[in-house]
Amino acid sequence: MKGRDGRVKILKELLLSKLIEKLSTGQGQNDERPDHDVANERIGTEDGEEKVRRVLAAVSHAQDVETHRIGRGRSTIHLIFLKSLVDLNVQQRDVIKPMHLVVSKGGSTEQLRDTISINERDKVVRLDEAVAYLLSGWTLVAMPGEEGLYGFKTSQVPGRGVSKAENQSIVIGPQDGFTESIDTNLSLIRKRLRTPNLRVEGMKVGELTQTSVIVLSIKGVANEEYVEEMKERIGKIDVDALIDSGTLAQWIDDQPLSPFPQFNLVERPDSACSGLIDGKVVVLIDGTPYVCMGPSSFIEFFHSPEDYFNRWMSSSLVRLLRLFGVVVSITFSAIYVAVLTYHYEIIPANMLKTIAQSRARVPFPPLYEAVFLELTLEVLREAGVRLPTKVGQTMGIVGGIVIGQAAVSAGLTSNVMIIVVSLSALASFVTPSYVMGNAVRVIRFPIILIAGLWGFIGLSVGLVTILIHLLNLSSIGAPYMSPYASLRLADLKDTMIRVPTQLLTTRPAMTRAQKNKKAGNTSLKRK
Amino acid sequence: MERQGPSNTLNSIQLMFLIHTVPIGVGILGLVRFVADKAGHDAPLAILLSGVYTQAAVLFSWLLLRRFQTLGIYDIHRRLFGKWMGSVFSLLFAVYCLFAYFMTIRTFVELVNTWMFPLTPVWLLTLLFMIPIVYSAFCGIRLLGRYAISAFFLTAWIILLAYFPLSTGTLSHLFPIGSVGLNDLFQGSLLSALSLLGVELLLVYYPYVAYKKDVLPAASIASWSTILVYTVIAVVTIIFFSIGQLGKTIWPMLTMFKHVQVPFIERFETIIIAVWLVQVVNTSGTYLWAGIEGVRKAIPLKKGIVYSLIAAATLPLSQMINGRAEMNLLLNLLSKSGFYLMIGYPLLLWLISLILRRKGDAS
Repeated sequence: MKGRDGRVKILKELLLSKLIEKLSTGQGQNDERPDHDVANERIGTEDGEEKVRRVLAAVSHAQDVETHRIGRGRSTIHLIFLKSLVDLNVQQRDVIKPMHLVVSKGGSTEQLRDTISINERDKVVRLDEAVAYLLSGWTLVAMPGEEGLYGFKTSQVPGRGVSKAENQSIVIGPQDGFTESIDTNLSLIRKRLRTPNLRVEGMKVGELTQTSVIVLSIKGVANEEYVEEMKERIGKIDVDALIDSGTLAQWIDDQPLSPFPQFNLVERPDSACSGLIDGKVVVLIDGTPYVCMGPSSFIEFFHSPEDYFNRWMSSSLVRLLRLFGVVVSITFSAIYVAVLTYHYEIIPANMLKTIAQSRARVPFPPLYEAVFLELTLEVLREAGVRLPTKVGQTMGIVGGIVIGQAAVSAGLTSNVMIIVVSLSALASFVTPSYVMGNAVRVIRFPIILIAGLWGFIGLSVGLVTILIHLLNLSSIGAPYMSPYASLRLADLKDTMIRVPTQLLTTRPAMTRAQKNKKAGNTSLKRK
Repeated sequence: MERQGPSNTLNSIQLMFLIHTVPIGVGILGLVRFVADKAGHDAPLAILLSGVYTQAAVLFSWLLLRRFQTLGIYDIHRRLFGKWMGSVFSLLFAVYCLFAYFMTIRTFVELVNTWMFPLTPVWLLTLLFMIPIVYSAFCGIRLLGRYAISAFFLTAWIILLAYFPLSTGTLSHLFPIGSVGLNDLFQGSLLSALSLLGVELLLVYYPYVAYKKDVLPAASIASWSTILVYTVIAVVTIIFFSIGQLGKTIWPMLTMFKHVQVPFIERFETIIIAVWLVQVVNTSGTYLWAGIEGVRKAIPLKKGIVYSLIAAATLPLSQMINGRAEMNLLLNLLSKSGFYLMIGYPLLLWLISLILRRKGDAS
């Protein structure tokens, strides 16, 4: 448990130093300063009432501050805390009740302090420190005749328990997912990685939110350059609020204008762990069940943790299917449009007849037809995401029967087009990563458009441009298209296909890990 | 200036793929016909023979570059001829590169005009192709190196399609091997020059190559594998066409792929042309990058400005060329100048540097 305590200490220090710095520098570019300037003010040995008054003045905007008194007269003990952040039961049991007992017996201040059974405690003499503790849910205690205040950790943050990973679910393998609490998330990772080399570095991001961010990496495995770069980029984020890892990933992107995500967002502790083991840097953000992981390669977004739990042949097949799905979802509608508009000569005569019959009654060119249907489908999909599950069934009927069937019989669109569009939509769902799925969804439209304008040539120009863009992308400086672009032959064994587990003995070259081997020399033969 | 750190270097594999794929541009589609004009049914032999030229080019370039350690051709010009004359030579070399860039793009436009879109104006197609080409060149050498690898794998499968022409061809077209005589063989091999251009860009890549020791073997392997690809295609073409037919075909490789038959696709050459854009972007983009390197070494201008100027000039120029005759004239000029530049120029510079006793780094 040493590591955990150490982490808490680091976090505490960071939290304090950042808050103090902010308060003392007069909020930098932020012109909203509290009415009461608390920087560098000291709390001396003044009266308890006076201490409370000063702390209250420093947080005068927070009406959820509560005070509490124990005893009377000169020996009154004052408690200050934020009701919304404090676990009142714990406070009652561990702070107030024992103190009452001591006070009623007329015990000394030392006895008062010792009777409180909360381990995490601190003595504060600076007003800004006191405010920082108060805002993190601590209970501040003003003892009679003592200098400063005592702080006890009584915080309790509401949150849900560990449950199944909802959006990156798998059939076999670990089922738990991250939660909104950074402490829980860290323990989910620690639970799996019991190495003292797991490096936990805390930071605070967001002027107003003061969101805890933890940068995780394995010392001796992860490349120090990436760790430093990641920390530097996160440190440079200057923003009022940081709510989600998706936002963080966009702040630290190599190329913010790209449609492609450059950091993998995972909600599964096991994925995060295998990332760490491969030498990646994982960033936990308080308040979101998604963690941000990098450097990430393009192909990685099409991998699922299940690929390693299944047998290698089925995993390889599934991986190939996913890639096929992506290619289909980007190009299939576009190819259909291009072929029907310009290159009908490449369709064999029999097939041409079928397509022509299907299209005979349709009054639009294929491009309009495709764009119209694709848009309808996207609208259906977007509506499906927002709708409550119970209403969702209606959607299926509206989408499938009314729009699909009726549009064809009304002669607005052809059957073949519906097949093409729904196939490409279906194929787009096989991408395990939601952010990458969205990227694919976005680039489909320009590709269809350019194919409708210039046929195969336009399609080719569009795809080549995307390819160049992908090749030019990087994730914290590592080539995004690794291992294809720099051609690391050894890494190809875990990309489009996955070779038997015994052969996966090295880390990917992309992470430039300090230790290349991750398994001993193994053989496929059982001795 | 771009950063000359590890982020802007080529590793040996990338260098190899660059040297291998850049010559494979539009030239290859009509290569065998040109060579067969002189070498007849021994075109494969003639093409194999032309490997000696690229090997010589690689060797001379290497001799020159090795003498100047980390410098590329543009800096060598300065070392040899001083600031002003050096810049003039650099500009000339850059103009040649830009000419090659331009002709690649223009030939492909001609091809697309002929095979797919006869009515689409030349400037529009040029503009369309310039999007990926300028983008790739603008991203710099590291991207071009990565792109060359992708280009290779994205087009390598085409060679498998040779099965279809082979299965209907006549093997005896190839025989008797070597009967055309040495003179015709030699003349034929010279005609393949256009498809060999691209090796000379080694002079420009060199400063970016991470492991200078690998340059000679990597470049040699790469150039010979290009020749090998050409030879295979020549063999297939000669087997498929008779010499008479070949003389009447402008792009034998495409005509050959008309013959591919798969149950759900006909007229396969349409797809080949679309896929071929991958190679055209590779060749053209690399030449554009090399040319602009030279322009910027000679005249200190901002990267964006040079690219905009060149791109703006490409459109009207490409519209100005009309018909096959003019094209052939220009292509002829390109292949002649390129051929001498590829082999003679590095040799000449090397000799000059020997005479002037200039060598070493800029420092």
